[in-house]
Amino acid sequence: MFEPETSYPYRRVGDHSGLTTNRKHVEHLTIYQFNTEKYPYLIEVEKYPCQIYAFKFYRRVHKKNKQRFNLMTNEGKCSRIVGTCFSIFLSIYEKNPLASFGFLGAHTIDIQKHVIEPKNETRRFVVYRQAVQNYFGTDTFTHFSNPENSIYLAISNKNKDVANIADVANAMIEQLLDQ
Amino acid sequence: MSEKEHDPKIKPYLFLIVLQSLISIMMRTMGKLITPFNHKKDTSVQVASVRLANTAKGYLAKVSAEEIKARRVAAYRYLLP
Repeated sequence: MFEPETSYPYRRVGDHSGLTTNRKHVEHLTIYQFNTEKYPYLIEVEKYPCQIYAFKFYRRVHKKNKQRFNLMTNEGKCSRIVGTCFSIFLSIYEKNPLASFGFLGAHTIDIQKHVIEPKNETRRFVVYRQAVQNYFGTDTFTHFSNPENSIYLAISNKNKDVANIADVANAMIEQLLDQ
Repeated sequence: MSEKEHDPKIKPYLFLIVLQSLISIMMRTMGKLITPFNHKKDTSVQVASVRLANTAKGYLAKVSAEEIKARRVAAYRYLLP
């Protein structure tokens, strides 16, 4: 369902150092683009300290929209899009086995339907968590989750001190959520 | 010369507005230049980490292998085991 084999072909369209992103804690930002049958999408891969990569995607047309992560596209291509994210992560992991990955399942904001989802255990979080747990096992990754804020982190077991990375991630999350 | 140019109240205000704009532009530019360097020296991450450990109020909780096994759909093959 979320297999990388069914992922959309993607290409890198942006590469920014921490200097140019001006995002807190972000060491590097890479932007990929892919096209579904209907729309072009962008995937932002943010590299944080301790080789943590955070994946974010949205429709390209919403690039300047502050709520770009909260909007529903209603295209019904979630599994292939998530598969594309997995595919990108696998290419990163091949080069860097210390790489860990995380995501935040943004809450949905649908003004037309008058729906603002609560931030805890969002629908996106539940779907992505299921996908990660189906495809990434506990031999390779130690899984951490924070349902209250819909955050998930899978830390590569190749790292010497997984618990310390989780602590550093916790601290970063605390700071980023306080912003 | 017009009356406005001679008005002594206008000049200080103009000066303040120009000064405020200059400071604002300077702060923005400096902020953009300095912020990315700051987080390399930022020790607050470690400090917050210690605080979290002390209060045991971590945001992320470890998901046990049993919990994952219970939730996982076994039909899917692992990309990474």
